[in-house]
This record gives sequence, C-alpha cells and structure tokens, in this order.
Amino acid sequence: MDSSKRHKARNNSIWADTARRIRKNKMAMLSLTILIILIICAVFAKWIAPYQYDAQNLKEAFAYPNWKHLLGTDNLGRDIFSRIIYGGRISLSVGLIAVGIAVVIGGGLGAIAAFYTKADNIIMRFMDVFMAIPSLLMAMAITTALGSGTRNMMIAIGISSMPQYARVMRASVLTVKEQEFVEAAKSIGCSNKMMIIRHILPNAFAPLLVQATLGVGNAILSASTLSFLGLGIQPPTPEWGSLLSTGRIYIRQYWPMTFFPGLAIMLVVYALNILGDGLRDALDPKLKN
Amino acid sequence: MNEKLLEVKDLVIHYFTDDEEACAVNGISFDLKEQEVVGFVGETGAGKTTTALGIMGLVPAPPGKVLNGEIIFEGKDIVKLSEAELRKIRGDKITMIFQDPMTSLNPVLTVGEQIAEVILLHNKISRKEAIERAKEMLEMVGIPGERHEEYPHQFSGGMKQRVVIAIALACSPALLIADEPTTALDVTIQAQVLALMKRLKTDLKTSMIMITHDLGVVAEICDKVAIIYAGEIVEFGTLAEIFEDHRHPYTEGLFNSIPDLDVDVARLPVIKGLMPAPTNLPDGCKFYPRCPYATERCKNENPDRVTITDTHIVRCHLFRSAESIKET
Repeated sequence: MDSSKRHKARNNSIWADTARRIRKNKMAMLSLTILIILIICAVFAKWIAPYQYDAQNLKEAFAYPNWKHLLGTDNLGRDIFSRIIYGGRISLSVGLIAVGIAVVIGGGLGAIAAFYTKADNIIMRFMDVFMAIPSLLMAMAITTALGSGTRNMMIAIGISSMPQYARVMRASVLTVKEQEFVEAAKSIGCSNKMMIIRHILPNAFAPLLVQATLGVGNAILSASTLSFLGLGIQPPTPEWGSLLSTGRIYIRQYWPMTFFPGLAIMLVVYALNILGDGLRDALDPKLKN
Repeated sequence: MNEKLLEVKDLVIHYFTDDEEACAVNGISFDLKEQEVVGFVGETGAGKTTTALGIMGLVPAPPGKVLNGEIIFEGKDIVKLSEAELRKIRGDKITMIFQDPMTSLNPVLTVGEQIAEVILLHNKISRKEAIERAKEMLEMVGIPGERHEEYPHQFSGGMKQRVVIAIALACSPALLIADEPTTALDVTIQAQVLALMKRLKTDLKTSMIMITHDLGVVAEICDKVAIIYAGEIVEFGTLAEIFEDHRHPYTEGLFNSIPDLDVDVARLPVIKGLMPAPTNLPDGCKFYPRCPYATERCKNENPDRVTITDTHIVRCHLFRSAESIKET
C-alpha cells in the first residue's frame, strides 16, 4: 500500500464514512446548504436585514413585494423580509434548543433505562404517561403553567417531545449493550461509567441523531403553533408562527403576510427532513457503497 | 515444579429463569499451574464458557448465580471479591479473548486507543506512553505499529483477532482465557493465530485456559486437557494421557468421531443422542443415556472422581482408583 492510499484509509471512523457518503447525496447537501444559509441569516440578522424588525412605516403598509421591500410589508408597514430574518433567530434557536433539551434529557433517561434494568420500568412507564398526552397539548399545558416566553416555550417543547428520544435511545443502547465488545470492555476491567461513555453511547448515538434532525422541524412547527395560539412569543418580537398568526387576519386581502413566513417554515422543515433522511441512509451500513 | 496459579474447587453455577433452573456448571474442580495451558473441550452448552466467565467474575447476574465453590487466584477467592477489586484483576491479571473478533472490538475507536485503554486502566502512565505501548503490542502480534490509528473495520478477521490478543496481553496478565479464539476464523488464519499464541506462551510465560471444541487446536497448544460434559469435567489429564490413553466413554466417542485420513468410512461414528438440556439433567451419571457401557448403577449414582495417575482423573463407574483396587 503506498503512502497516499494509506493516508486516505486513515481516520475512517463511522462518522468520517458517514460524512463522505452524505456528501454524495445531492438533495441532502442542498438541504444542508439551505439550512446553513438560514442559520447565517439568523445569526447576522443585524447586518443582513435591510430594516429593523419593528421599524414601522404606516404610509407603506400592505405593500406588495417590490425592490424596496423584497417580500412586501405588513399591516404596520414593517418589512416582511427583515421580520422573517429576525424571526429565524427565534424559530431556529427554539427548534435547535428544544430538540437539544429533548435529546439530552430523553436520551439520557433512555440510556439509563436501558443500562440499569431496575430503573427501566420506572423511567419507561413514566415516559409512556408522557407519550399518552398529545405533545402539543402537553406543550400548551406547560407554557400555560410556566407562562409564555421564549425560554419557557423551549422547555415546554423539549419536555413534550422527550419521550420519543428516550424510546429511541433505550432501544439503541439495548442493542449495543449486548454486543461482544461491551463484554470485552468489561473483561479488561472497565468501570460502568467508562463503559457507557466510551463504548456504548458513541455506538448508540446514530439513530438518535437522525431522530433529532427530524425533530427540529417538528419543534419549529410546535413553536409556530404555540405562538400562533398566543402562548409563545409575544409581538412585536417576530417569530415565524406569530408572523403567520398576525397575517391570518388579512389573508383574503393581502397574501404576502402569511405566504412568506409559511414558506420559511416549510423550507426549514423540508430541508431538515431531507437531511435527516440522508443521514439515516448514510449511517445505514447496508447501503454502503 | 511450578506454583499453583489458579485453583477451582467444586464450582457450581446455575442460571435461573422464571420457570427453569439451568445447571450450566455442576461441580468443576481443577488446578492450573504457572505457565501451563489447559484446554477445555466439550460440546456447545457444556459449560465451558460459563466456567471461564466464573473465573473472570463476569457471570451475568441475574440470571446467573455462583451457588458453590471457590476460585482461588493468587491466594484470593474470586467469588468473594467485590466488583471494584475484580475490576483491578480483570485486564491486568486475568484477561479473556472472546470468540468472535468481528464483534469484540468497538467500531468507533481506533485499535490503538482500544489497546491503550486497558493499559491506561491498570498503569499510571500518560496517554502518549500508553499509545506507544499499544504500538509495541501491535508489532508483537505482527501488525505494523503505524496502523494503530486505523479502525477495526479496516482489518481482516485474523488481524482483528490479533488486535484482541494484543489487548488481552497488553498488561502481561498471569492468566489468559481464550474462549474459542479460532472458531470464527478460517483455517489458514487459525494456524497463524495458533502459532502466535504458541509463541506468546513461550515468550511471555502466560498461563492459558484454551476453550475449544477442536481437538486439533488442543493438540497444538495445550499441556493438559479437561473434557467437559454437561457442566462436569468427565476426564482430566495431560495431553498425552487424553490423546493416547483416554478412559471415559465420552472422550472415546469424541476421538472416534474425528475423521481418519487412512481409513475410508462412509459415515463417521457419532455419539448417539444429544447432550441433555441443562434445565433437565438426568440423575446419576450425566452421560449414561448416551453411554454404550451404561449400567443400572450409572442411572442412579453420579460417579465420583477416580484418580488413575497423579495427573489423570476420570469420572466414570467403569474405573476404580489405584487405592481402591489395592483395598479389595
């Protein structure tokens, strides 16, 4: 084997392999690009957005898309494009953080349930109770109890979507736990903690990752729904769901107010779903090529 | 000559499920001296692996339970040690090689890291030094040291088994338990791995317990052989005694079922019947339902160990120990 080939063969962990395979998937890469653009827009909203999100100009209210206002203006003459870009900050961060909460708590509980058989029944039955309540209803109940606001909304959505992550993680850890290398790790004197962190979790994480990419889309939708119902972000803070909900009143007379925020939500959810699909395929060793 | 390294006395390990009790190991006793290799030969389910797990203190509990017996290793009874004490012994003093090298390595860690892990667990050295040691170990088992940055799936089956052996030997253990180390490999690789283990046995002076159902492997590497049937050692002796002068009807059956190149037979003689289910062992001798020499006594009475020579022990009513012959 010559040196260049050897170099190439190195660092071929599952993750590197997955990255290589997903790069071949054009749709997934397109989705990733869209997501990255949206995230950059959200992060640098201050510089990218042409107007302040709350800058009113009543003279120009209900303007259709034109060169001055790319996506038109709303009922108070605010630039819809700017509001969507600023709204992305909240919607995307709610999506990511809520899923983050769900993955950490749910995944953690699932892993504990799978590893310590005694805790299994208690944790999973508790999760079943959570699952029995529709997640949107659950999120509504939590926001009502905690009060509205961005932080509470993240917590509410995170907790209400936690049980599915617990289930996925538990199943995954249960499979990995029975594999021989775990027993081998035990036979060299590994402690339980080391075993979970070094040997089990990295091998059990892939399904959770896929579930999470699909979950971000759902979380954004839930956040939009909660805001739409008035339980999430309060005006004038722009958030895609609340943009939709204010636009709803004018939907017959003036379509851009509902159309563009809806398009933004759709774009993110769609991109995340395709990325999640791509990730799942890339992680599946049977489809290796 | 050598000191006793391991002494197993009357080990009984049963698995308990909701409605059954599986008697996996029923009173196994044997000694292992330093630098000695003992082969455990027996059918699938005879209790070989459970015995090995017992010695590692790794019997899965529940459902497994060590009901009786002592496992004295370097003066300590492994059965009574705490989990923390066991952890110190595992990987350092006693290590184990598992059957399937394909699955006994962690796919997300490089082989170097996996070898270094066991070294770091039992020695107070830096990570860098551990990686250096890992490279040396790889060289020792015949893999170029610079491949330590590669992942298990980049190795072939035989090489993976070498990596597993490198992990097992990284801390120069006193006792190595190899659970069918060659079963999952093809014949040429088997020969390589066996040659490697043989070399390591002389170089590192490690004692080994070699679990296998391949008598060829036993002949290749073992000093002593234990024939295990239904959780009991039915015959124990030196390699020569078992191969040249085996006594137990089961051992005889095993040897008869090895194909002989010089004799052309249409069908190999087999031991008729199946091994009894460990949940439902017969009273008396465990082998009597399949034994061609079975008598009424075999059905009712479990035979004791009969000493034929100092090293040769057989468990069968057909034989009487030298002392008892003198008495009559």
